[in-house]
Amino acid sequence: MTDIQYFHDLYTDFERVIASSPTSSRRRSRARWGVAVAAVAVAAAGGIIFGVSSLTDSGQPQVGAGTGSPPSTGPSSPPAQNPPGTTGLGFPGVSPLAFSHRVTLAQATATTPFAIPVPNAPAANRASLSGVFVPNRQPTTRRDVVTLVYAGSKITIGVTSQSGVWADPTKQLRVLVTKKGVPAADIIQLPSGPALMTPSFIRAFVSGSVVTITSRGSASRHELLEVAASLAVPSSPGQSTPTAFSPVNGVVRVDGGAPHPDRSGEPPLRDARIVITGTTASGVTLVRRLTADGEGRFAAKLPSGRYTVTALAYGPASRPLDTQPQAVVTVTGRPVRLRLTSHLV
Amino acid sequence: VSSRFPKSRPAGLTHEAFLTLYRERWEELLGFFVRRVFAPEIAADLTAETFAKAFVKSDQFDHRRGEAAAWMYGIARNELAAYLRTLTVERRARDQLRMPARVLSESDADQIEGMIDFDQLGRGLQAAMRDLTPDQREAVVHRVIDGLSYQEIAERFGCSQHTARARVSRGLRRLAHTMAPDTAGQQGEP
Repeated sequence: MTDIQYFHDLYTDFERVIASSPTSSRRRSRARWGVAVAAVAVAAAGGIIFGVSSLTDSGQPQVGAGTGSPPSTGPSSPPAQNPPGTTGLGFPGVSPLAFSHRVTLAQATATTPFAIPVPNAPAANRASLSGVFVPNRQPTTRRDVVTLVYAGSKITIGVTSQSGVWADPTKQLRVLVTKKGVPAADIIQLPSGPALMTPSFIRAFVSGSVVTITSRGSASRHELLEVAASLAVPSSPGQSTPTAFSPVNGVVRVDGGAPHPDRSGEPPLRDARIVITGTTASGVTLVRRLTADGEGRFAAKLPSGRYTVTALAYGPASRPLDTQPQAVVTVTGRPVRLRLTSHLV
Repeated sequence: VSSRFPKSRPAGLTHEAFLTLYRERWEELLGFFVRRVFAPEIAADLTAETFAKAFVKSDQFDHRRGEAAAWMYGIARNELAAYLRTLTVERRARDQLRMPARVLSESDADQIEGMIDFDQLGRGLQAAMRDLTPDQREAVVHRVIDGLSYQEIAERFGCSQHTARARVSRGLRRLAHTMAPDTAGQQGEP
């Protein structure tokens, strides 16, 4: 089944409409929905829902399938259990986020291949966390969603996957606003970077995850901003921060050319075009192009991941090179130095 | 007589049945739209509005007249027809329900785009174009592909602007009918 965040969110919208329209269910399922609506009304007194999705496709651990089933693997914390026939919020057979089931935060963190930012604000914090939901689908992918419920359903945070690494997030957000025609959108600055704010949601980018915070009615704009500003990924073993950038410096030289007067016998390949392709630790495909300087030097900052660096160039006087020198580098948070050497035909 | 045998009311669609319908059919309905409008954002909006309209009109659903899915597709066809007429997706039902505007992410759009079988579409379009009369085919190509005005098309055909417009219109209608016979000429919700 296709997992599209838009339709998860739409489903929760319908649930909210149903929960807030007691008269509409008068004629049908009166007793059953009466209980459900009452339960949600009580739960919604001060609740917050969070959803988190990933940026990564690689190395996904599996999560348990089926409504109400906890994952079969996970840390030592006890598995979450839903009441029989429910998914935790009082809706019979319907989870707060469709196609999801309930787990603990520790389980979600351990079984999700992407960072799960959590808030630490008065309106939403660890103490008020009352439920965590992950998708039923196995195995999880970077498009999957984790939903955190804070004492009801006051705020929903949906997170969509970021399709690439943004060199200039503010510019990308401007493009998004223009292209998608988001009504009344503002670009705001959070500690995590630029974010999009509209009357109905805030979309923030935290450690490779895209987090969309939506008010369910009773949260003020100030509360939403506080929640968004407090989002952070708790440090946990084995979970890297996908957006940590490291410097990668290199030089391109030519073997077989005239000896360089100042240095070794390999003159620099000036103005070489450098293409870096690869996959970040969070599974995002990255392509970056840059040009070496007059000394054949180039520098880039790359997120953790594995990349192939290729010099596309002609030799002096446009003589073709017999190879396009390549190097495979693994970036793990430390500076990397490269030397690419090509040979004249 | 009417007091003894009152007109029976339709049973309607329960909220639970509506949510079940959504869970079981959203993807299929999204596919229905995206294969007709070829734009992920519009297909998602049409799907959302169709479900919202079905929710608003759920009291009118009569199970004696058919399945809920068939009833919903009736609404979907009308939404599609309205979109093709106005090139605007209504959000009246969603506004009525006070549902927030949703934005399709790039990854969502990519996934929806993946639901379009462009090869099949291309073959279907070729076949449908062959079904047109030569004049209609040329008029459609001039208008849709070359982007000519009706005045320019009329000059090329040596006919009136009215005739040129009629040829394009008939050609497009026939293409729509050939490629999506289940949506052509449908009027009125069940």
